[in-house]
Amino acid sequence: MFKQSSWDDGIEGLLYEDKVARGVFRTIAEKLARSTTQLSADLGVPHDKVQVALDQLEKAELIQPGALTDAPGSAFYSITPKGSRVARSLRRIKI
Amino acid sequence: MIRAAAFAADRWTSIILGLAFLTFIFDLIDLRPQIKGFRFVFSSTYAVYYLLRLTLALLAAMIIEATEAVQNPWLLAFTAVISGVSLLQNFALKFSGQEVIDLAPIFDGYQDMMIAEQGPRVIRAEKAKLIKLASELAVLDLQMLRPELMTMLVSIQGAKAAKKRLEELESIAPQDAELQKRAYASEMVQLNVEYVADRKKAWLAQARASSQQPVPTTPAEGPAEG
Repeated sequence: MFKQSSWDDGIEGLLYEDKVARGVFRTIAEKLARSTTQLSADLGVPHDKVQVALDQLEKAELIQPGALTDAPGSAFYSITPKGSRVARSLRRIKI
Repeated sequence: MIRAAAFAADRWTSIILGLAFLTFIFDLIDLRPQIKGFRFVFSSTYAVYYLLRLTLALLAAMIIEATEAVQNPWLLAFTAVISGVSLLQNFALKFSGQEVIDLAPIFDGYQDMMIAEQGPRVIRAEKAKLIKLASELAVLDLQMLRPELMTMLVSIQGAKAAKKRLEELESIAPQDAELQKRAYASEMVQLNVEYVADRKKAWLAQARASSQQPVPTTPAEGPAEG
């Protein structure tokens, strides 16, 4: 449906069907980097759900973890070049 | 002959200077909202991107110059930069239905790299903000920080994990109150920076108010009679 060069079925499924993952991804793409706590506050979604979405987005290589500490919620994630490309496609198709 | 060559050289110097300046200004306007900063201009990725853009603009300038349509070198440079942008955004050469050349993804790729390179810089800035806030918070008493931290830990992690985390933090510097305060403050800003920033003023005001309260005097400490 939204297939473009930077998309594959996994990414399409993740961003089209999972609202939390899409929200997390769009927030990181817009702000360039965000922590788990900030994302939870931005989206009004519990930490554990945000963490699941972050893990999926990281697996799809759309985001990458930044500075990590052992304090929960303090992990920062930033956009990857692939993520930036996908974010541009998302903006073009306006979902 | 020599005068004509000197005039042409002067003209092309003006055009190239105009191209270099206007391309840079255009990039600042175009990329700043996407990259959220100007630090990208110092990156090697931008250097390559800029040279590519300049080459395209120079090609456009040569074409416009050949038509002799624009006389003013700065106006020509401006037209060439704008033409270069529209060229790179739309140029796609197809043969037999196959895309042979498509310039847009090349330039988009460089923009994506610059955006991704900005991420760690944003993280460093955010971390600096957290450290600054933690230092400001560390002026509060240990007795004030501890229950606030416990409240935050319990609300996020639950009672059992909160107790364990508090013990871990206490074990960092059991004899040094100052270090302990800094550890608590750092943990608090890591847990929820928005909440801490929101409550900071109230906590500092509370701390000031409690330090200004007169200390109750015992009879032994009272003023001596006579």
